[in-house]
Amino acid sequence: MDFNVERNLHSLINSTSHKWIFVGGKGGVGKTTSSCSIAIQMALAQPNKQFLLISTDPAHNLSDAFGEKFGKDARKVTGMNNLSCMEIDPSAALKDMNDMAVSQNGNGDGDNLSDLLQGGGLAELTGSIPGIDEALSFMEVMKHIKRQEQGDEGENFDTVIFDTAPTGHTLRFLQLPTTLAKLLEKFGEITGKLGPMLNSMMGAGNVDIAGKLNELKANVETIRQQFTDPDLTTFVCVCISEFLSLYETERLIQELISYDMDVNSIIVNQLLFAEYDKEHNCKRCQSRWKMQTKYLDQIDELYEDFHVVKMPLCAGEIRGLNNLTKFSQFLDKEYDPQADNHIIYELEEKN
Amino acid sequence: MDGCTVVIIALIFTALSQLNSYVSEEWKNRVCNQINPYFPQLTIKLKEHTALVEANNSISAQDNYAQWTKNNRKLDKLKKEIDDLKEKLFHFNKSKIDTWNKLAKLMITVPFLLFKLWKGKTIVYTLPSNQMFPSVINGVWHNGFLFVALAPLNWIRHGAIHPAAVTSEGNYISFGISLGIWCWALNTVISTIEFIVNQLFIREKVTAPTIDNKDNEKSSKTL
Repeated sequence: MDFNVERNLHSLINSTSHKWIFVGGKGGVGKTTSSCSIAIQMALAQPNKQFLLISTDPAHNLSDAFGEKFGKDARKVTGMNNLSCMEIDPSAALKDMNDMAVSQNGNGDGDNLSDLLQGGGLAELTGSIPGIDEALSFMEVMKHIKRQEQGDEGENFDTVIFDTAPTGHTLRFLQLPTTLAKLLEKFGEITGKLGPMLNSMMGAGNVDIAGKLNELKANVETIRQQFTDPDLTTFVCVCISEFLSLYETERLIQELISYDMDVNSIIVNQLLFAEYDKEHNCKRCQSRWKMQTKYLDQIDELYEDFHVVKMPLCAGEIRGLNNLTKFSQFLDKEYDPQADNHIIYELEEKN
Repeated sequence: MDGCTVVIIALIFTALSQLNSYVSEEWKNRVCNQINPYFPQLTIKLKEHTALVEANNSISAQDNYAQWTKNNRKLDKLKKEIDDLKEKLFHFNKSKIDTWNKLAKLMITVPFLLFKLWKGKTIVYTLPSNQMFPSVINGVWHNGFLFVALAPLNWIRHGAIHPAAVTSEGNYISFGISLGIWCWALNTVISTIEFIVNQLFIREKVTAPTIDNKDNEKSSKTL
């Protein structure tokens, strides 16, 4: 095993094989900034490819990070030709599904179960189900896979980067393919026996349950295969150099390994590098940097075969395409506290 | 085979089957563990697990995060190995205990049953007088419980529930206790003694439920 791994994400940024990149970690560690930075660097490094950044976090931050409004449909980032963003909104998506169901079912006679499920009650019912955000994100993934299979050039993205919700949500989302595969297996057995009866309950000739289930099963299996292929999918963990954040990162990594997912990159954000900062080197910064160094040493010891990228704490908020682009360069080429120190104050000047 | 030999054989079988029933599953498991190839491995892993837990409890997670995490990783790995070994150990012991039970059945229960079927009507001892019990009971003691089932048929065919009870000279034959009945009586005595010993000395005493006055007061206030 090669332990001399690069302390940057150069190989990932220039990777042409990766289709799905997940960025996740504890709340408040800079997941959105990191995912935006990865997306920008990839888009800059591979101008002929199309990238999509999706936020699956119910508390979306992409619009704030880029300083422009994104919605449930993919929209290009102003100033970039090959990077689009979207924020999955569970309530809006459910409303759309509901409206579609109502329009399709407009001539229903109100007698059967399908009228009850599709005629408006569905959105209210599903909206309150725990984990619906993850399910909708998963549906979005399925849509993209379908588009890729159908060769729909207009909406085709080469790589999708996920700005995920805090750890618990993300793990639930990543468990979905396996859980769904098991569930569909059981459903398959039931529909094999009760298929005709279920079809008649849902309205004769209206919904082919067995057919739909088989189609869903095939899609879920494709996603499961793609998510566990290290050439296609990888997970980038984001943390800060503090105990609880590291502890959650370790938990996340172990869980991802148990799902057979590739994880070999860790971004450590908000580092002070106080000893190299001659101008702004207060006592508080020194003590916090001492604490951060202690945990950084531990990270190096624990994750020696990982790409551990050390990112600086900037003087201002990293918002807007320009600031994000400046900040994100340290993902491709590691931050040099002495040579690059001025950049973290340049960002401040922009705000 | 005289009555004395029959009684001795029956006593040996009874003693063996009682002894087998006293061997608890826990004891069988302990014996099986001694021959179980997974048991030494499990013991080592459990010791390692305890040592690691102690090591992790003795250090500060925040000051020795790397060591603490490495220990946790080892603990997770060990836990999986321990669960796996426990599963294997259980299956090994179960197969051995099943074999034990089958052997016990084959060497004690089945031969004893066959012996009782073969020698069940052998008179173990003779009653001093035919007048000690009513005729029906005498018949049961002498012939076993089958006598009760056959009694109506005998009545229809011979006009008496016990036609063989009178000899050709018109005298009553002397009744005795057959081996089947003797074994049944012996087992009844043993299980009664077991029950008494169990109730008096082995079972834990169940304390009578008490009513908490505070609870009563609370509920009455609520009402």
